[in-house]
Amino acid sequence: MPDRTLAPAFKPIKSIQLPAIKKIDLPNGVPLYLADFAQQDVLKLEIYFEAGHAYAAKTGLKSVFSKMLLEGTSQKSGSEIIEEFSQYGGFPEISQQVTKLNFTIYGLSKFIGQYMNLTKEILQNANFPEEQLITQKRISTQSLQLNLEKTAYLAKRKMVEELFGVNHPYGRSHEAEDIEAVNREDLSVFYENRIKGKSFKIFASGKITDEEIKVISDTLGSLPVEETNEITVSFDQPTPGKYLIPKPENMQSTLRIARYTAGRKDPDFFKMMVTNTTFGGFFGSRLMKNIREDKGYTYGISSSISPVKDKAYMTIGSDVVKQNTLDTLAEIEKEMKIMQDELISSDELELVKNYLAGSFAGSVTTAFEVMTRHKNIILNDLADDYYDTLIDKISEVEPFDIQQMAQKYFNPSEMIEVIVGEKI
Amino acid sequence: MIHYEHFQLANGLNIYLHQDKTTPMAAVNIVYNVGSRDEDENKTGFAHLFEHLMFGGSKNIQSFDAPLQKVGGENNAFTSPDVTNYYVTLPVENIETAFWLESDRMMSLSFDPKVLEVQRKVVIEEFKQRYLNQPYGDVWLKLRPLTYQKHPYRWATIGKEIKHIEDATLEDVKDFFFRFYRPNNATLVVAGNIELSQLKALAEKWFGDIPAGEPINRNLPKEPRQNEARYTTTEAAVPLNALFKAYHMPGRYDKDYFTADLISDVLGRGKSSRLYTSLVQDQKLFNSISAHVMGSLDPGMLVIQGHLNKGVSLEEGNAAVEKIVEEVKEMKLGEKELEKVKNQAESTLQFSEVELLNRAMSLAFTANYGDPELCNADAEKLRAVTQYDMKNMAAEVLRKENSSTLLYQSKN
Repeated sequence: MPDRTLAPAFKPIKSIQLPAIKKIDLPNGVPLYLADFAQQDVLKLEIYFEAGHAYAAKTGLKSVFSKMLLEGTSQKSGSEIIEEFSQYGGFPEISQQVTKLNFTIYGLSKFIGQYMNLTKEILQNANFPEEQLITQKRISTQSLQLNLEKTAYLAKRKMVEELFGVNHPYGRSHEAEDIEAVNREDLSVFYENRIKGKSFKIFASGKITDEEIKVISDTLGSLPVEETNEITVSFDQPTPGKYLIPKPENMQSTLRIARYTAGRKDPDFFKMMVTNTTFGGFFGSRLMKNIREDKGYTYGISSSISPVKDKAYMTIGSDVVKQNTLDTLAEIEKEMKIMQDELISSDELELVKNYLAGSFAGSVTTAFEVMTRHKNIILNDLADDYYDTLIDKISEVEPFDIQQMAQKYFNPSEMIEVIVGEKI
Repeated sequence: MIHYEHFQLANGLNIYLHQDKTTPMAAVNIVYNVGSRDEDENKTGFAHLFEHLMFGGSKNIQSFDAPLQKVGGENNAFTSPDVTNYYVTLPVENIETAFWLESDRMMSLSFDPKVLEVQRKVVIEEFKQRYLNQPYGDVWLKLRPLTYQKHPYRWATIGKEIKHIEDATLEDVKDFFFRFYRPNNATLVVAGNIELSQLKALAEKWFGDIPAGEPINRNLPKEPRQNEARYTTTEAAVPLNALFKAYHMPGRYDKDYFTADLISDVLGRGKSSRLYTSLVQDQKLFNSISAHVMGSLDPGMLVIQGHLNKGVSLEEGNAAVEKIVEEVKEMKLGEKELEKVKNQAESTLQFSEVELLNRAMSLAFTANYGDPELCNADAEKLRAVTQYDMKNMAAEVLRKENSSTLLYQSKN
């Protein structure tokens, strides 16, 4: 019989080399990045344009533009486009972020020709039909109304408005009037300025052999393209504050607490990654142990770091028993104070570092995941060895660094606090 | 293709190896053959509450999570109406830690009363956060009991009501554990770069001395064929009227499952489906509409759900949906449309096998069901579906008398 009271021996994870990808320049100069190591006959193709909503003149454009790109071209109706993708098992998705727009296709490698012909057509001849725009505006307006019933949406919305500013590209939210104000002309102008004939990057992962590369080259690689300018986004220091959106009829309070932290190129970034993980970044974090596993106030509480350009912000979030709202806030402050006042034990630090290393190792196993990491390096201009050295940088963090990070970033008076529910 | 090898321990624990030498990570998946369908109707939500308790410490190990995190592992679990599934991913060289942890909690839990008290609160908050504090969050609490009248699928996995969770006792916990959490009621799948001989040694070492339990004979009431269309209306402060329709259909591993699945795709998979093109695009009655199937082991549900545009009444929306359903039931489906839904399904199936953990789960679920080979049968079954099969299945499943409709009225 084994001695069940003793944990088996284990090896900590040393560094992980992110599998390399290939880069090919297509005839028109567009870069095609390739992660070709799939066991299944599927592919994911992502096309990135510098066409986020920060470039739009109207706030409401983001609520319809990405949907409308698939709604028709001079050659094909929106129904025909989606019908053809579906016919060949392809799933197109267009998502417009703040500075980027990405056109992603998931599908079967054997049908790449069909997907590429349609994509080329959309990138050249989208025409934003009026009737579809009316439908899309209605759908977006009603989705907005639904979101406005969700406490998580309300809390996040107020939080980014306060953090970035109501007129900032990352903080701006839209109202029903903004959706209403968008017309065909706005969409066409944006399309001509940011998509049609403009340069892009392609990230292809999954089963991509020479045959598939040739198809991409013959279609998207033959489009004439020119470079577009890149917007500069600046970030002002926000004013800390506490905000309550009353929802007395709800059973829970939704809370979000946020502030800026160090960005990915800041030497503090990895120290802060370990600090935040200890505090609220995984199931065994101090916040989870206290608020969920000890007090049972919530199904979950977390703290996360979200990089934006060269900055990053931290968000603490939870849905808690309404009657325990104030108590939860006090406990969060208490946990921050403990991290400022006391050095982390070597046991806890080792656990957090090993967890982070294992979690990273487990998140770069498929071609899709490997490409996601490389894409991050390329689109955010990170160092080539950013991920190859990640585990080393994590393992270098010392207890003193964590205390220092907590002292620098864990000050409640510098934070933005949003409560949706009741502050009782 | 998920290849595998199998062996069984003397205590009845079935073990499968899916070897994959391309990854440094391993997946360790244990499925216990117990779900919310096995609950007493007066103690619903218990299988799921119990899942939470499995993380509250076992006989020799105070915490399940911390030792695993320490060796670079992650884990989670879920409860469905059919099974309770626990999974760990970790670097393969540290795989023994997963065996140590999983075997100790299969041997015995700590049965600490404080763990029950805290997890009871956590689950109640989960109940509120997911089902009560969300617009339309209570749909399944209402649609299940309308669709099922005999079979225990009539309650949701979270439970019928919060009171059932409040009432659970430590005695219930112990009974449940020693009845259902025995090796002969579990299936262990290990996936990763590991040899069979290595796995056999580890399995024998850690799971070999756990005593078997009494065999369990599941004898669930069969849901009778539904012969009258059922309707119910509910009202809440939601922005749009909504409609939810469920039709009884074959279970996940029934030979005809994919035929019903493809019918749901024809009706409501994506923007080229019949419901979407007709009701959202052409007639503009709905804001969104889709259809999907529940892949449950016992006969399941084909579900249509949609949100109506402002100003459209539930009666009008329902009549429009029923008209499309009737058309699909009556017509012969074209070869091209069948090819389309098959291609979509093939694509989804292939994507689902990319992740090692998904392959491990798929094998675990089919083995738990009684035939591991079913995990490699989906693609072939899908290809074999004919227009004739579709017509016959539609005639049975899409009968109006087989439908249960929840009309969700907006108070706003």
